[in-house]
Amino acid sequence: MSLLKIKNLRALIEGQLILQGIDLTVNPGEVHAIMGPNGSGKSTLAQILAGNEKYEVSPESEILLLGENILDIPPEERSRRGVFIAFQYPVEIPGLSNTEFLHTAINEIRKSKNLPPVDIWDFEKQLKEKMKEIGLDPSFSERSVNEGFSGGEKKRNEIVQMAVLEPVLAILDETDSGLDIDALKSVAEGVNRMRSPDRSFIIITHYQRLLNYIQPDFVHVLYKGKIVKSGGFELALELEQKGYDWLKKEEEMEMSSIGVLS
Amino acid sequence: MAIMYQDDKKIQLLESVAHIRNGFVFPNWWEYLLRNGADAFEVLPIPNKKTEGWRETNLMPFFSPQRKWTLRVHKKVQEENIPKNIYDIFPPTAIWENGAIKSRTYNSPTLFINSFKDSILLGYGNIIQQIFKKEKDPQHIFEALSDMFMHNGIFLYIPKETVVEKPIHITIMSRGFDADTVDVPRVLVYLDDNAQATVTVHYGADTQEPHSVWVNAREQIIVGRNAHLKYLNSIQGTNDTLRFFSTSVQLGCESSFSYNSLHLSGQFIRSEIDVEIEGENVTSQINGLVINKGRCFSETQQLIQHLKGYGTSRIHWRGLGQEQSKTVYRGKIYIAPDAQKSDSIQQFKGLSLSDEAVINAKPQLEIYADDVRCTHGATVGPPPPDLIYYFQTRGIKPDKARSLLIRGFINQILKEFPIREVEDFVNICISKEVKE
Ligand SMILES: Nc1ncnc2c1ncn2[C@@H]1O[C@H](COP(=O)(O)OP(=O)(O)O)[C@@H](O)[C@H]1O
Ligand SMILES: [Mg+2]
Repeated sequence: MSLLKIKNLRALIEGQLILQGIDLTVNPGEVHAIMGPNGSGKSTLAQILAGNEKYEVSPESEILLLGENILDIPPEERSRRGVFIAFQYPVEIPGLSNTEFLHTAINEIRKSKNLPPVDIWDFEKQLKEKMKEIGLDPSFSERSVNEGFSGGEKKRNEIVQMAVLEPVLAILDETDSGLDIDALKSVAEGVNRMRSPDRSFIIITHYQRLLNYIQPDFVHVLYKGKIVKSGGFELALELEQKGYDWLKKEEEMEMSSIGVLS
Repeated sequence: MAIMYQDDKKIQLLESVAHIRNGFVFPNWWEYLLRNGADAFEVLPIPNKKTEGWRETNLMPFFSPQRKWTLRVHKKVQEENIPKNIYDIFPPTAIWENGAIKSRTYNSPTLFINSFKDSILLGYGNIIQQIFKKEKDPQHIFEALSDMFMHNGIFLYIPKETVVEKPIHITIMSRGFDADTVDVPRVLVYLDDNAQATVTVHYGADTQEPHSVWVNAREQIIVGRNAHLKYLNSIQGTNDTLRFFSTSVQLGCESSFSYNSLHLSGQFIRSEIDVEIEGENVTSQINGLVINKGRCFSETQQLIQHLKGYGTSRIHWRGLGQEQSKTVYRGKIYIAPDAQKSDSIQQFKGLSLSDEAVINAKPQLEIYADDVRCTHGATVGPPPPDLIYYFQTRGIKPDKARSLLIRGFINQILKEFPIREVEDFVNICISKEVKE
């Protein structure tokens, strides 16, 4: 069975149709890259998968996780079923340490599966290990979540969270943007370490850069709320060379041909 | 004896001044204060909503017709009445219980702590008198009431050049069981030049329905030249506790002062603090946390006066409003023409946990010097939905997220308190007070 099946996903925000019918299937172990210019709806797609209630989803749309429609399921329940999103713009949580935050998260998730809680000291040790692996100073475990972190540190912290929560479907929303090459490599290593036959990734990115380090199985181009092209890694290379302008040109041509016909 | 919401009814409270003498012969200066207080109480009007600074204060609980207030002075302190969290975490050196005072006869070269009356008998009358000489006339009836009922108080004196390492804890208990009881606790803390100490004062209250207790507290703090004081007070009490607090602080040159306050429970709290920076190079830090719930009212009024230059003042105050509670914060920084190079930051944060909870904040600046650095700000709101959503994406339900955000909000202010025990202390209280 496919891990994720998106059928005809149409979504509105403030009366504006942002996603105009997206179909996408992700099988276990696959890495899908979603590329596209700014404003094409990439974050919207990620947010809807995570369960953000800000968006209005059309009733005929379906998001199936292991065959079950999750559209009516709240974000925390999706997380407990293994959906993870690394935010493009992670929020700051004042007064709550990374350790406390993630320890609570992991135990809430375990509780929902009738598993015994993990001890905070063991957990903190494990968290510090993961932080080191991803190039974040272990002392960040004691700092408030994302508070006063640089852009790059916030992104790394999202990857740390992913490593701790061990999702089955991880959605990375422009985790690469704003990262220098070292940070990019350690994020990519973090992802690659976690690749496994029963874990899938949706990697949203604006540039092809990250995909040099995380080889995707599929690349999709999202433009104006639609997947306009799908292919393999070579599509990412093509985009890198041509940029996104050709999309606009193709669209104009389509428009003018429609104009001729009518 | 009842006082109605009419000025002429104050006369009845005035009559009970007579029985506070109780055989003790007050020195002349003390008699003068009592009389001055009574005169002020007589002539000052009861503040109403039109009075500046009282706009948001609902004084009805004090003046409701059912209340028949009596000043009760206990003969003996019963230590078992002290709430356990206070007793365990801040074991008291001195205790006040409705005017009865017990001090662990702490008369060492390093510090002196005793009742006003015993202090006079032990030869400290002069020092106390000097302090009261500088005392301003009462500004309103609550301050007047504190003076006219000033039958005793706790006096803590740290002599010149003395560094007291161990914190000094004071407990103030006000109890009202068989009558509507007025209690007028009074604390006078004086750090002489180059002295250093940590002092904590904890207010507890017990009442039994239908009776109420009106705690009219007065704190006077004098920090001498190059003296350093860390001060904490906490306020908790049963639902029928009405409290009026007036704290005045005078800071000498080169001194540092850290004032930390916890308002944890009680039906009505109005707390006023007036800090006067009287010398140059003073550092003053004020931290506070108000936890409010039910239909309770809590108001804080602060005035920080930079009278001399090169002073630094910081205010970081937070209010947590639950249910139908109302929390008011008004803070004013005043910078006198002479107070050049003053540096002041004032910050208030309010977290409201219900649509019906009201939190109003009004930070103010009044600056008459031109070379100063002052900023102020206030933010009030519910836990931000985008933060709650972030928790949810990590498997945490909204309710749990909210309680973690509340804890974070509290921790952020507590970590600025220089007295580490507050975290345990507040944790015990909030597990009761904050609905998670
Ligand atoms: N809160 C919002 N209100 C109105 N429009 C929005 C909102 N959020 C996003 N949009 C619009 O939706 C479109 C897609 O945005 P987004 O999903 O963030 O794109 P991407 O991540 O691909 O850059 C954009 O045109 C953006 O302006
Ligand atoms: Mg985006």
